[in-house]
Amino acid sequence: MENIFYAALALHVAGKPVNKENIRAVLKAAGTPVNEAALDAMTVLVEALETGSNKKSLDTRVIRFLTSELVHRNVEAGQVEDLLTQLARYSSSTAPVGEAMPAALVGATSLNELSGDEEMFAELGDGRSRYIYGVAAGGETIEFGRIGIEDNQVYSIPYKDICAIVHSCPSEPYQSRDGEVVKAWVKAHQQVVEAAKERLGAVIPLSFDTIVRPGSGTAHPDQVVRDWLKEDYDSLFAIMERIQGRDEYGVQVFYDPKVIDARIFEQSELVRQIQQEMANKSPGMAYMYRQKLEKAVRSEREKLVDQLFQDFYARMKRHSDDTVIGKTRKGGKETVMLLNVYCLAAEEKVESLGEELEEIDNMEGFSVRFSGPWPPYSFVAKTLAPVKGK
Amino acid sequence: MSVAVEIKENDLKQGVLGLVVALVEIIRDTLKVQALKRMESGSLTEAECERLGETLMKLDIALEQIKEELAITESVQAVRDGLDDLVTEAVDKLVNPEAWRRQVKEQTT
Repeated sequence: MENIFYAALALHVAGKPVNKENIRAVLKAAGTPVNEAALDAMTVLVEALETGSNKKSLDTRVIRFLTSELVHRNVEAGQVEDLLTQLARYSSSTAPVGEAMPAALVGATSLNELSGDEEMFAELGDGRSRYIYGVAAGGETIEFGRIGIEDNQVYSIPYKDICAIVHSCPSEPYQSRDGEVVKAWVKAHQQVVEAAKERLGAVIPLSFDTIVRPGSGTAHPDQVVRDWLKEDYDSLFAIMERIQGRDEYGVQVFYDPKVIDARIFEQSELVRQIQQEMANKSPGMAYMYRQKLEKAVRSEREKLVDQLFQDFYARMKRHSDDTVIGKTRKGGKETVMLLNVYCLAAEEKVESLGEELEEIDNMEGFSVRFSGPWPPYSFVAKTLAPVKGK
Repeated sequence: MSVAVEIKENDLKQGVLGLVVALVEIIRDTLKVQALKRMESGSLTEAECERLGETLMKLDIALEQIKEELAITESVQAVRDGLDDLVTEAVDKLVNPEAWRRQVKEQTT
């Protein structure tokens, strides 16, 4: 491409008009291949110099040239786009500096222009998709640095006052048979969500391996993400409001079945009655009564456990802004999981929630496992399920 | 990728026996439920109840012995737990058809 520069210089020295045709002629005479994109860019430059115009809009010919150059030099696709976004923003900001202009708006319009140029991004090959960590509050493009999964460059794609936290990735999901590798990925995912939260306040965390890939269309992948933000803006905004300033806490309550059964034998009228009838029966008959007793105990146990569940759950609800009931795992003989609840709670509520749980934990035969704060994964999954399909 | 499955004869035996005994246990359980129902409805005489109870009791003892002798207590429990999970899942779906519909949709898209 230096050749084009030399050719232009030669034309200038020779006093010939410096234009596309002449440069091409010189290059042909010299037997050098013509880099059309570079030639286009040079033409733009010369035209600008000649007309003396100081227009700041970015010509697509320049963009195309820069993109292909940078890609050939193995500059990462993400960086190329960043550079272009910055260039585009610079060129379109005709408003005086300092005048409030929604950053999201600037980004959106300029990128629209860019993605209109179809061939440009076809060259980017890899990095056609976006791995989304979550959606955060804030309408700016922010560089988080190389903190992503496998040290990818993490940045935000804004729409209005929310932004998606992403890195540029191939379309294949992250998959590995190696547990350690997966663990490192998930940990990185978690750390990015935390970093975004620290910086922007509220983050809707998305689950690991949420990847948005553009369909067969030629739209810029950042634009695809922005379209999604636009499309789901209302529901995303609603979730954002709901989780703002709140964290998720996991609560699991376990009981000792022996303690529950002891309570039933003590309290249940029916059970006591069967026990009395059983006494002094012949072996076969006693066996039948034992079955009857077992059945009665089982149904009383179910009733009692259900009551306890409702009671505990209501108490947790009182100290939470929202709750989601999780699946209970089957317990062993010693302890059985009674309930598994995810609570969304503001910081000021956590203490009272903790006190309530301590009370339950102190009850004989019951124990509570309390964990958190976590990003509110359990409170966003349902609403955002459609993303996964893309 | 092909996976070579190596079946040890002993494992296979245990698995099959576990399955058979688990099925017998389930049949016994339903028999118990039926016996209890009849007894409570009053359609059985005292002597019939006695005989039924004794038979079921002997079946219980026999099954426990078999399990112990063949060392299949665990594999029987595993089969029953597996069936339990299956039933729980099915009931879950019937109780909450909306979640089921969503799940199916997710899997097919």
